[in-house]
Amino acid sequence: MSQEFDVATIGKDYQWGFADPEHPVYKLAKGLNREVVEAISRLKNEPEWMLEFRLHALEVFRSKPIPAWGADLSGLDLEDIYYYAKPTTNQAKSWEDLPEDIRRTYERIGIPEAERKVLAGVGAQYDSEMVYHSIKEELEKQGVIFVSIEDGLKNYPELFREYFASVIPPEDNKFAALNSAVWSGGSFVYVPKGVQVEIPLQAYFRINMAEFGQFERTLIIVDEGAKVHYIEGCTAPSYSTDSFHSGVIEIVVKAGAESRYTTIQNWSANMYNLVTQRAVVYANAKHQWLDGNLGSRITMKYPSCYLMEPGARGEILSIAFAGAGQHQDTGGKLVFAAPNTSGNIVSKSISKSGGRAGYRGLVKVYEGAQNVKVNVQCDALLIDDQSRTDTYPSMEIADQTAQVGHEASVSKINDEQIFYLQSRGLKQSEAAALIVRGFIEPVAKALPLEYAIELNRLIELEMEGSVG
Amino acid sequence: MELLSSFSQVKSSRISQALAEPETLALRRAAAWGEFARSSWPDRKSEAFKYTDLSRVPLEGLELLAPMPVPVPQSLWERVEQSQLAGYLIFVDGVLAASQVPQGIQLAPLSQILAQDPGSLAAYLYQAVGAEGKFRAQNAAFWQEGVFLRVPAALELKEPLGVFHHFTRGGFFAQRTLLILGENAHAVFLEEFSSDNSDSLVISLASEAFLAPGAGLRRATLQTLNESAYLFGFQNTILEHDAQQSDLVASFGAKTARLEVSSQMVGAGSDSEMLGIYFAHGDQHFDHYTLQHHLADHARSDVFYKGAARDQGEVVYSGLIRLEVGAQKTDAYQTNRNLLLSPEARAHSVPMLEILANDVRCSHGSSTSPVDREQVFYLMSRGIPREQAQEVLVQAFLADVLGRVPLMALRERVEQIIREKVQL
Repeated sequence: MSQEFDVATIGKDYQWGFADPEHPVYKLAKGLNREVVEAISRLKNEPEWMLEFRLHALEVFRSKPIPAWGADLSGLDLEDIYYYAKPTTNQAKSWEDLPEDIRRTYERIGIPEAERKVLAGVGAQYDSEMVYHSIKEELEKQGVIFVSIEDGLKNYPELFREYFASVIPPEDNKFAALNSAVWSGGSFVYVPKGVQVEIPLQAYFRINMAEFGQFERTLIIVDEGAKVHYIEGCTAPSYSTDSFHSGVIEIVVKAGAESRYTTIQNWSANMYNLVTQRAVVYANAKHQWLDGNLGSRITMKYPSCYLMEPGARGEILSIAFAGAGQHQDTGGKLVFAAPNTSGNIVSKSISKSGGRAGYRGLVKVYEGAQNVKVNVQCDALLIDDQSRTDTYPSMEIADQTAQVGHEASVSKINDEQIFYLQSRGLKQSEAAALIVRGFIEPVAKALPLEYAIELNRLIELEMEGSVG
Repeated sequence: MELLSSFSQVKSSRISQALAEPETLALRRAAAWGEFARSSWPDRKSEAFKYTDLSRVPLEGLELLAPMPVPVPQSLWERVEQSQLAGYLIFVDGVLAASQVPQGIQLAPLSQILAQDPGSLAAYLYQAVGAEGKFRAQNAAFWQEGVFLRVPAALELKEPLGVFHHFTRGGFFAQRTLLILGENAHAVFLEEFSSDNSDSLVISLASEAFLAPGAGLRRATLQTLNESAYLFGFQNTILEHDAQQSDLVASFGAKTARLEVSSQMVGAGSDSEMLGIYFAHGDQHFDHYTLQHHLADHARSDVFYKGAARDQGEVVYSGLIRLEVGAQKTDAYQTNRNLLLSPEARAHSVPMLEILANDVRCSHGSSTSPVDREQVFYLMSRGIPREQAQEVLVQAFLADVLGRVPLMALRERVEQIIREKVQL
């Protein structure tokens, strides 16, 4: 039913909403080539410069090798992926459409409910296109822009072009180049000077098709003195064939602004999740990444802050949970390029049932970046004797006045603590979950309430029957 | 062409013939040459040499150092005197120049063991440091001399044994050290490298130690090569059950020095303490790598590396704690601290963990910082001039590594070197 089109015809006879709701309107043939990139650009009615940008990125992508470090990507066949799919644009898409097992999880954790009540704007991404978008009126009145990335390009062309790919150029890495060539979907956010957005903006991403690559692209500009918190949550239905997600998130935090970006990633266990996230932070501004990685088969993600002007601060809080067959190769990067900048990384990882979680990080202090203060703390919890944890931090210090600290520890769930809690009437699994929650508390407490609840419940689910 | 190169197959086999190597060892040397010829020098894309620039090292250009007897310089005799040794070997330009060996042990140049009892080497040589990769293969194919120490079971040697390697000429020289301690044997082993010439000198070291159950080895490697020298060292100790090692690496000399120091805890209850101290000045570059490889349960390892850099000096520390599946009840620690003393000094620190066992205690810490201004201020407020206050603080910073080495003569020697370097 889902047709594979002759790519040359795409964009000429495009119509919305004809296919069966379960299937995309358009699905380009598998594989990546110039025609696919041109078709995506044509379908989106993009200006010429964007097509040129995409084609250039495709060349960059081809010129770069697959990274030899990090997680094992040998199972990833980049030619065996659908690079673009157009879903039916039906606003009736709701949480009921989620596959049974995922919906059960989400009902259990009460996410749709909490989201509708608490979150300011909701953008739901269904495969490649935004199908549902809302933002509260008062935010619009303040001049806050929260739209799909496509609408950002269409409706705010000058603002868009000024910042797009300015934080993460295609040359940054192979997967950023890939994303730059085939990006589709994502959010465009602009918070004007001095505007404080007190309730979080949120986008949900879903991937509904097997062997499908999703390449969302998000650009957030927080103007001087403004404040925003953006939340991204990800789920994918379980399919037996592997899927691939490679996002690029660019954030510009101008002088005196404050921004947070929260991701709770719970992709299904066949997903390759290779994401580039970077914030450039200007004078006295602050950016925080809060990164939770629970799902996917392989995640390689190292959110970074580039501290460009004096007084800038970057924080990265990270939780990784690796179960059977999972490898969470996560971490963070802080680059200090100006005096009196500071930063902090707290990473908590949990490995169980043969899973592998780790921290890979970089702290780089440039010459002349005086009085930098940075501290990195990585703690790993190993639930059983088959699991694995890795820590690969690099510290490159080229200024004498820098104060750089790094601490890491590895531990298991303490038998005495379990015994203590059991003697107070808790079941063993409850006791283990409680200890794990205590372990991640320093990061979880930075989450909005409903997310903290979600995380705690997900961990409870994961911990059932895992100790003993 | 081949014949003209310093590192030709012909030259490798000539060394083998000169040492009269038995066939098994000659074949290993030939295989190492093959590996050397096949592999290329690592560049900065390789993880191990990411922070070490090999372009300033004359890797290919130098001739093999030809063995030629040279008398022991007076300064070296003073060093022997200071070190309060039970026995010693002194090599000058790779040739044994003097020795004194106590009763009951074997301490001799490798060339001598090859001539007398080559069979005793085959089970050990290349077993802890093989010929993988360009540098190790180069050593295995071109080593000309070395040190052999065997302490028989249950013999406890309390006084240190010292081996001095002094160079008066430039060139390339590869040497191996082989330490074998029998069950419950104990020894203290010191090795020093120094040079006093201005021609380029590249030294390659491969140091293998085998500690039988219950054996105890305290060792230290001190290098004060002058700044026309380059040093590449590979050290690995294999610890059987309840064996114990305490190792110190002290790097002060050479223009570029890279040392890999490994401990393999293959036996339950083994324990390896690995200490490091380094101080770079001028445009010196020191790169230390440690590996704590736990293959058995109930073992312990502790890395403690501290260093300072001044002028344009650059220091690199990277290290890995690797716990294999089943290495339960392990205690493994790793600490690296760096002090930057000038605006152009550089430090890189990469402390890594790979943990495949869960009932363990593992931690690491790293810090890099300037001399604490408040501490300088405190000392100045007591009337100590700024320069001197800094000196005191640098010495104090490095002293807590030395505090874990109970060899007073060695400590004094290292403290003296630090004092001289601070005041340069």
